[in-house]
Amino acid sequence: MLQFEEASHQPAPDTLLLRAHALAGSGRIAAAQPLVAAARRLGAPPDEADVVEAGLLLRGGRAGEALTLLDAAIGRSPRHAALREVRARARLLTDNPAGAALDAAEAVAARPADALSKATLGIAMGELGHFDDATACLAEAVLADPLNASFRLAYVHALERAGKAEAAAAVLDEGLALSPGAGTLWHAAAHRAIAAGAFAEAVERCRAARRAGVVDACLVGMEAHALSCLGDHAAAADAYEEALKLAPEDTYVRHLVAASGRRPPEPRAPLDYVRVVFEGYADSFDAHLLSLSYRVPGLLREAALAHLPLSGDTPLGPVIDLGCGTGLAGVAMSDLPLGPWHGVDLSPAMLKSAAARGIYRGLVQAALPEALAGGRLPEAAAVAVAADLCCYFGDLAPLLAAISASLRAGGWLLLSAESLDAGDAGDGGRGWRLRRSGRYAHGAAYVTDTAARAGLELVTLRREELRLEHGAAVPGFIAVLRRPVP
Amino acid sequence: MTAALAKPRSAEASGGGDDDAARAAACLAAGDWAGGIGHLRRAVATGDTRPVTRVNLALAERAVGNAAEAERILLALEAELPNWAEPIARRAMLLRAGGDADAASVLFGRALAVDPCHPDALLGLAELRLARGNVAEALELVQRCCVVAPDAWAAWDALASVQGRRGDGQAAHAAAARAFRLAGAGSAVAPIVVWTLCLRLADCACAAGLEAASLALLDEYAALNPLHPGPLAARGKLLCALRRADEAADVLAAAAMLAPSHPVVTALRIDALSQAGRQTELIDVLRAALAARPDDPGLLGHLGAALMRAHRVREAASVFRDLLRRDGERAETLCNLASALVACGEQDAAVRAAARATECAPGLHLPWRMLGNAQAYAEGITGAALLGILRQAGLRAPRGHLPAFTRRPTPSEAGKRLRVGLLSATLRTHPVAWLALAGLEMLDPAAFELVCLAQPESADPMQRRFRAAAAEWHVVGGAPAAHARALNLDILIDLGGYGDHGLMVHCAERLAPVQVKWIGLQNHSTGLAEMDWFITDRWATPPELAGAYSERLLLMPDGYVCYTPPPHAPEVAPPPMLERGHVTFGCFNNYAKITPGLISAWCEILRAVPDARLILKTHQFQDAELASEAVARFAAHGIAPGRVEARGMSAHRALLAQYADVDIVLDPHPYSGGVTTCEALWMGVPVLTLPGETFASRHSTSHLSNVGLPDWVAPDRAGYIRQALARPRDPAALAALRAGLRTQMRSSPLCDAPRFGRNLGAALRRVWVEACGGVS
Repeated sequence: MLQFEEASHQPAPDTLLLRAHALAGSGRIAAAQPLVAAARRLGAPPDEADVVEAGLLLRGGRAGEALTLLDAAIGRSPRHAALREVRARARLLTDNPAGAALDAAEAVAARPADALSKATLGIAMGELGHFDDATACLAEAVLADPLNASFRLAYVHALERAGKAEAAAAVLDEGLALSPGAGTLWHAAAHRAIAAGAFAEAVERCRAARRAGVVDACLVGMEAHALSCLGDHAAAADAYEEALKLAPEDTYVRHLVAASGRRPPEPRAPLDYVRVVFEGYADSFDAHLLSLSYRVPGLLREAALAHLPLSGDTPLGPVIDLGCGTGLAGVAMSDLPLGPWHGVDLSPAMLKSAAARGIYRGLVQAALPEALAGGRLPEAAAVAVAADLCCYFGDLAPLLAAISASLRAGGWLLLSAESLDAGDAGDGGRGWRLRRSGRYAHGAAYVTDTAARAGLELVTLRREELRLEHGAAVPGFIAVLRRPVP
Repeated sequence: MTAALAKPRSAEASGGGDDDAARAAACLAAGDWAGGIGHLRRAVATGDTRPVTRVNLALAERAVGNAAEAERILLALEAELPNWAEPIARRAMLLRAGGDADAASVLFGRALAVDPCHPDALLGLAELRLARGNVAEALELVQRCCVVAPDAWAAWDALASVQGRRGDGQAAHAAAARAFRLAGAGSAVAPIVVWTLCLRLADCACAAGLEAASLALLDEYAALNPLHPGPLAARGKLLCALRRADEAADVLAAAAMLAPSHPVVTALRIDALSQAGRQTELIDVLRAALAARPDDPGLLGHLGAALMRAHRVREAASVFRDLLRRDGERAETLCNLASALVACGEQDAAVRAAARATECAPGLHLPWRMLGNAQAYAEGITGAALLGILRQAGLRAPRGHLPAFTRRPTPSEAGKRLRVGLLSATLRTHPVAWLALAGLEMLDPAAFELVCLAQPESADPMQRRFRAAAAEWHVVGGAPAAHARALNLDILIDLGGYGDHGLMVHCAERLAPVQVKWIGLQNHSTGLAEMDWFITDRWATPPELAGAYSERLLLMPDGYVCYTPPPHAPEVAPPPMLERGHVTFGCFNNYAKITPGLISAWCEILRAVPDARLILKTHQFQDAELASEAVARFAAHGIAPGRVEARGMSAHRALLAQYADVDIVLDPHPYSGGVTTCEALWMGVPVLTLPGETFASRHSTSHLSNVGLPDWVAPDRAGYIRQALARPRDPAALAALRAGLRTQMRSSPLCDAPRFGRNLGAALRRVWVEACGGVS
């Protein structure tokens, strides 16, 4: 049996708490937590222990537990400034800006010189839409701690939301002058330039960051994006390659490097790529497509009217809308005797918008074609709609086989696809190519052949212009396919 | 169970002293023998003749050191109550504690004859059986105890111990977990028992591979016992086993706050901090531990190693010398001393220490390997001499622990997609990565799949690139050779050599049909009979030097490496001499490469150009004393201290930025710069080199030739000095070269990753086809 001499040592609880606080500050939560527990057992003041423990919980992403702890503590010590300040941050993280503002205001009243409390109050006020108050608080926080990048970024954000773009730029520039090594400030500067369409400025910002020694995948990726928007595709490809070296596991960037022709393409776009594209777009997706003269939903409606048996009293259904996005295809065909509609998409934000349309009986957040085998969509669908779905797949065989298997005999598939240029046999003669846009284009013959191998007969295929890209029409086709009746 | 109050099975005699007996019971339950003994003595003195009180008094007397009195009380009880097993078992324990195992065994047997279910007798006898190696009988006894006392943690803890001894890790862990749960809140468990249970659980979990599952159990226990360091220590041990060394070190730091000098916590912290690479903390912990145990050779060895890794090489050498004095002349210590002395720039002393190690242990591999590593830095070394030493090391590499390697590739396998293993513990931000990664990334994935046998995963940016390029990532554990064999590799490339954490020695067991040495302490031929090929080029290994290699040479058409320029490199600055009016030479290489002869040559240059300056920059100069010593070595040649600057370590970007202060790099010999030369060139600074016979002496020759600067390769010492004097006389030429050097390098084969990847792929295919019996 193991035998050890027992060391008798009881550190002072204050010492333990101080050490725990210091460890927490350097992100070493695992080391800090046991010290707080030990300090409590040794009789540390409960308020002080709660402050440290709540801070640890917040750092560990456990804001709900922190709130429970803090509610009890503040019930006991309502005037404790540090407890109030921590709870203000916890409330911000749990979508309670009003409560956060109250707590932060108490903390500021008790400790007027504390920059963190002021910053927290400013952020809370901004969340509540009180931008003047927000900027006033954050200005004081920045004045008190000018090198704190978090405070400064919050200030910049508040000024922007207050419509004071020039002041925001000045605050950001001042921060960059004071802390040229602050990566988050450079990110913000480049991002602001891109959002404003000032791509040349964005490129310069990214390069200035590099000169200042800030080199990360995010900045180089933004540089690549801005270069791409400026039409300098060779330099953009260089930058994307460089970004991939800095973030080698980033499938989004890897896909863009492949799209630039510097790596062999994968047979489908990585899920992360699709998710990032659509999550970022959800709020403005419809308006964005409108600006691109997006025609696919209308073209699919025309195809449905022309080829589907829609004359009966009973709606033709169920319909599965594959990659439904915000539900534009459903909207375009909502007055036709089709339904019930079921949608599937990878992006929760897109699905939220689709749900708001009230068209879909069921919406599933899942990847395709895997979702078709998952039992979460109706079996034996009468109609499958694939609007702008094929462009995220190079090799269509798995997708079309899964769709075919999910259709009843006699069921219909309406799809759109971007087409290869005339005479282009695709990458390696495979019938598809990953384009610089990050989307796949397909040959019509490839699609019909692959569909035939999946057990789908071609009913019709019509060449169309699907949308605009940089002002030029994107050629494609609308196909109607059918699973034969035995 | 030995601390529990004994309860007689026979009827108890009544007597006085109930209060004292009750108080004594409370003391004993808390493990407070000293507190309890007074009450017990009083109780017995005042007429409490109950057997339980007298047994407890015996236990207390024993606990406070009165073994004879304890024995007297127990013997009296045995005589009075011959059918009661308790006093017999207790006396057996006394005998066992006194070292009389035979007598104890007899008494335990007697106790069990009286009461076959007596738990303490069962466990006591089991422990003695186990000590004698009779595991089966011990198991039977402990299992009986678990049946008769299923709620006793000690029974299950003993079962865990026995099952562990049998090698049944799963059963041991299950028993340990049950003991742990039974101990529960621990209110009735003495602190020392908490230690036992926690560490038993951790040991069993590690042995059974159930580390992660046991963490939650420890957390529960820690929540109930926040002041006990045991659960934290055990957690640290499990995290270490899970290779979460940073977390382990953090948790153990917390344990140390609760038990600052506990030897178990200290030992675990040393392990965790070593694994986590947190050298500064590690050194502090070791120094504190050594204050209590100054002669502990293990601690001294750890300290020396930690100091080496922290680049405090002079201190490390001093610790190893101290260890030699305290612990005798051991080969391992001499090797460590040699390693430290090389790093201090004392190459000859290092060679002497390593040579002495070969005399101490002539049959061992390590001393010869160290001698080879030291000789590679020493002046006058020839290729043949170095090969001779490395052959001796190769002959002594451990072999025969694995079955003979029998796989022979067949002609039908010639075109297959090859599984290429990369063996190295340095697939991270490290010269290996800067020189190998870009080419490996460009291998055609349809023709090659990369299998890394490497260090634990981390967020290191270069390691992330390796992982992204690799099909498989295997963490090399305690049995690298068996692990590698099981991966069924076609080609194995060693990228670690005989360096720190190098794994090349395992190639002696033959891990793949084709074994190749590439960069990673590639100082010369490996001397290993099982190493089939050596990747090099025509500049690094010209035909006249090919005889100094034990492997076949796999000559790359361009250079033998492909350099990845760091994305964070600053822009190239103009030559400082334009502004300063004098030339500044520089050398940012490891101080181990700075030999007395090299200093003599550099001093000749400095004397001939009286306004010239020299900047030396190396991690070893973190040690201010060593930096001063370095400057003094020049002063001994008559060079004013102000003309030589010794700079310490800096972050990589800052290091690169300091090339703005240098006009010309003077490459060291006989161990030339590798990635350091590439970095200087990338920063626009030309490098003047002097190659010798060994591979290590020709790294820069390869890089300079590959990048189009063969005229910076000096033919001999005189030529080296002549060029160093001549080049600064044409500042315009230097400025022009500097301004265009990055572009020139970027477009040269040295930085052409796709080209290198194609060449490497072709070379690997060639050697594979040949191994398959085809014509290469």
